[in-house]
Amino acid sequence: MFELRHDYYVGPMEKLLQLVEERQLEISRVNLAAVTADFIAYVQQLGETATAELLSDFIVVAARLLVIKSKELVPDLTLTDEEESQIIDLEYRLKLYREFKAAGVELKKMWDGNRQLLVRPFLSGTKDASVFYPSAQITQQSLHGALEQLLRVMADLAPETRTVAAGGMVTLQQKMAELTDRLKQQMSFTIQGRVTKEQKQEVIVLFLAVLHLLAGRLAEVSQEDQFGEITVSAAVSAESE
Amino acid sequence: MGMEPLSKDQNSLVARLEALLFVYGDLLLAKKAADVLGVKKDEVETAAASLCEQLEQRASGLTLLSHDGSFQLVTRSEHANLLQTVLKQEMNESLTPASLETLAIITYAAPVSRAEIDYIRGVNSSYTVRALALRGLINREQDSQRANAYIYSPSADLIRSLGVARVEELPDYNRLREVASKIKQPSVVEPVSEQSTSANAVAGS
Repeated sequence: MFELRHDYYVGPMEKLLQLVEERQLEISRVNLAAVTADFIAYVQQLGETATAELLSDFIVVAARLLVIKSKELVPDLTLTDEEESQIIDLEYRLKLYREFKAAGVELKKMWDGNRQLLVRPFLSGTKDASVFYPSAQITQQSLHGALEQLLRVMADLAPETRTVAAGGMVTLQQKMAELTDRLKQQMSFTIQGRVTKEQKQEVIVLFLAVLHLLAGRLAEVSQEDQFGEITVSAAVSAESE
Repeated sequence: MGMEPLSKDQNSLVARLEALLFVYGDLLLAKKAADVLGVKKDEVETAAASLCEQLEQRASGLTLLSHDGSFQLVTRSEHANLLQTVLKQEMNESLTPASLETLAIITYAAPVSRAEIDYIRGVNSSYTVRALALRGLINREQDSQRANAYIYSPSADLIRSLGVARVEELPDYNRLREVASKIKQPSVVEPVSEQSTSANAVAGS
């Protein structure tokens, strides 16, 4: 969102070039010194709205301008090799920038000139965009082979399926019917907390069935202690029905 | 331009190439054309040059676009207005100043890295570069010299949108190309100004 605006910001090189060109100056060290104050004023004003990133790009350039300006004011000032090369670099970049800025303006004229070279869409002469053009390698055998291979690969990838232990599947309906019968005969039964691995599935179904009975108000449950036995008894209302 | 008269074989190769490009429509790699036509790649290139000249000579409404080792049969820029009305093609959406200067750098300095673009513009250009790539105006490839770096170059679509059949036809191409070649080594910047006499011109970090 915020980045979208980035594109419209004036960058440091652009601003510097503007300042130099406004005064119709050539790009030279002396002239860069001359626009330093204006540039810094711009950066200060920018500080209120710009992002830290853009600001830091500006400050890099401002720092170099200040070195140029200092040298101008104090001619005796000795610059380090690094400072000296940074000044040259700034001048050089500004000149490069000016070239490409101008080239961009030329490209804009061409772009707006509405002189595009137009083309035919890919294989448009074949009327239909989709062409059935099987390669010579595609035969009944090769397709069959490929499919078999695919199935083999898929078989390896497929998650392990576990077969239900002997005794078969227990459905929720079965269990509910069983429970209702038991409740009719015994009035109550208990569910123990601890189960073996084999019983696990059955207990889950049992538990679900109890929940269903509860929801249908066909049973009542009670549990004395935490993790203790659960006593399931026929609901009073169910009995009266 | 006086070219040597073409032999019958060469002539038929030019004609076959023209037919192929006409049907294909899309940008076609010289190598791929060579495979289809059963000739060598440089023969295709010669044939393409002849085709281009033939189209020129008979003032055809078509010309041959040549970009990055590929060819495409395209209409001439002067017919764009006429064809726009038929095609009702959307006008190219305008470009922002930032995208224009970025595009100029990429077009003249290609292949160019983002670091080099940032160096000239003095700002982070990642957004602008991404937007240009999304619009299909520039191509992005992995830099073979450096890992995890990309280099950018103008796309054929950009060249066509600008109304030229090859990058060399862009304004001031040779001079700007020369200027751009200096960006390549920002670490050994040559002094451009008369005043900069310092021998060690090394770009700052």
